[in-house]
Amino acid sequence: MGNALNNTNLGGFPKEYNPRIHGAYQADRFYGTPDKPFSSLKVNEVFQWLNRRDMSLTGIARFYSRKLYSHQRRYHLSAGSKGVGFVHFALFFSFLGFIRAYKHDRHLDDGKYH
Amino acid sequence: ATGSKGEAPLWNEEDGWVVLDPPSDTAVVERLAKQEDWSNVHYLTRPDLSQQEKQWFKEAYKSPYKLYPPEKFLLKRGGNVVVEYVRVPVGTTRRQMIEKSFEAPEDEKDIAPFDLKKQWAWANKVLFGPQRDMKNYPSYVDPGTVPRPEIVHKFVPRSLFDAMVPYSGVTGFYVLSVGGVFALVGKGVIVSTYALSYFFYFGIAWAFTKLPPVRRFLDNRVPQLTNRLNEMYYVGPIQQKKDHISACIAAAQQTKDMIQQLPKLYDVQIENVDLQLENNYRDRLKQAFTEVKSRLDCQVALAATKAELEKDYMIDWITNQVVQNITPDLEKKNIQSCLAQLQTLSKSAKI
Repeated sequence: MGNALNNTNLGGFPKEYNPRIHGAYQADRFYGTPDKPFSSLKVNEVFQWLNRRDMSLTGIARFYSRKLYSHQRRYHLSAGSKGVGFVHFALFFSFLGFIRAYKHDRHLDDGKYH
Repeated sequence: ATGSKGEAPLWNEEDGWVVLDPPSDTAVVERLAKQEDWSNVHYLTRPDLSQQEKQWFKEAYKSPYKLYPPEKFLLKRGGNVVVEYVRVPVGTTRRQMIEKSFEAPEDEKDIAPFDLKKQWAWANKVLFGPQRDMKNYPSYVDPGTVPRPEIVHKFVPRSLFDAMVPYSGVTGFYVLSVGGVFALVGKGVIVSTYALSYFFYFGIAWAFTKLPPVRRFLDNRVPQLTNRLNEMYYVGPIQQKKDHISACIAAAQQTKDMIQQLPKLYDVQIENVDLQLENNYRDRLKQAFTEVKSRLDCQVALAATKAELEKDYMIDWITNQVVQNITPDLEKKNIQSCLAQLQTLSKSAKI
């Protein structure tokens, strides 16, 4: 079973990363083939764009990690940040808590005064 | 994984799951770089380990008890002290001595030919070589030197704010956020309980503080209160400490000055004692004088009394003798003589 892990890339750099081209590794940058940004897509291009993306577990994990590092760099590690990073972190997890607690009070929807 | 062109294989299948040794020379690194496979290359390579070092690594990896390297870097009693004397020719500059100090010692040169300069040169060649795309992937920027992006209302990025303006105007964000909350409350997504009103109280209080009269009052009152608190809890204690320290310094200076005057005090005390002794001497002198004088006065009084007694006795005796010797005819004659004198006087007196 250990032989199945011989050609995997666990904990390593992405395959597309080449220090000769990209320089030192930065966790908040994407090193794959450049593609259109999501905000400039038209609706009929969205599925094609998503098919081109790496939707594996490692790909999703890399996306999440990249977004965390970029948010950290922009709002937490910048000069004069004054706790904005902490506030965003708290708001995000508050929203997740809201989603988790959505079903908590659904029995009150049937009531007359709620 | 076999080496190309009949070289020794990098890994033998019979060994099973082993740690691959890092490549021993830059040729292997080049070969792997050409394959664009960077997963087997540690980016801090050590093309410097000898066969002995690799063997030590393998044995240490397999055994839970053995240490790498054996004995050499164990902590010994007395400290791990190594003293080296380096012979350099006359005229060696400081820079040369420093570069020499970065080299490995003679007995370790074959074991660890590790050159920091070579490593840095290789890193520079790799990271800033001809293929480097500085336009799309610029070099590392310290995030602490970059200012924070603009923020509105303490956590909303300005980019989001401005992106909504062409679609929903200047008040778009506010309408969406506040109206969205009210819409969700009305639909029942955000459940309206006793706790929800407390969320709105904070918003109402915030809006209340934005009113100009309240703003004016607060801009006067809040600094006043903060200054009071600051004085009470920050400036006051610090000033107390400073004053206490000044007082201690003054007391210490006073003590120093008093110590400087102690010889004078000694002389004054000596003089005090001398004065007391003088006083005692004078008292005793006076006492002696008075005693002697009293005794002499007594002698004088005794002599006077005796003389007076003798005088009075003599006078009394003489008069008594005289009076005893007075006969009646003498007395008669005396009276007659007195009368005759009176007659003569009365003749000469003028009335």
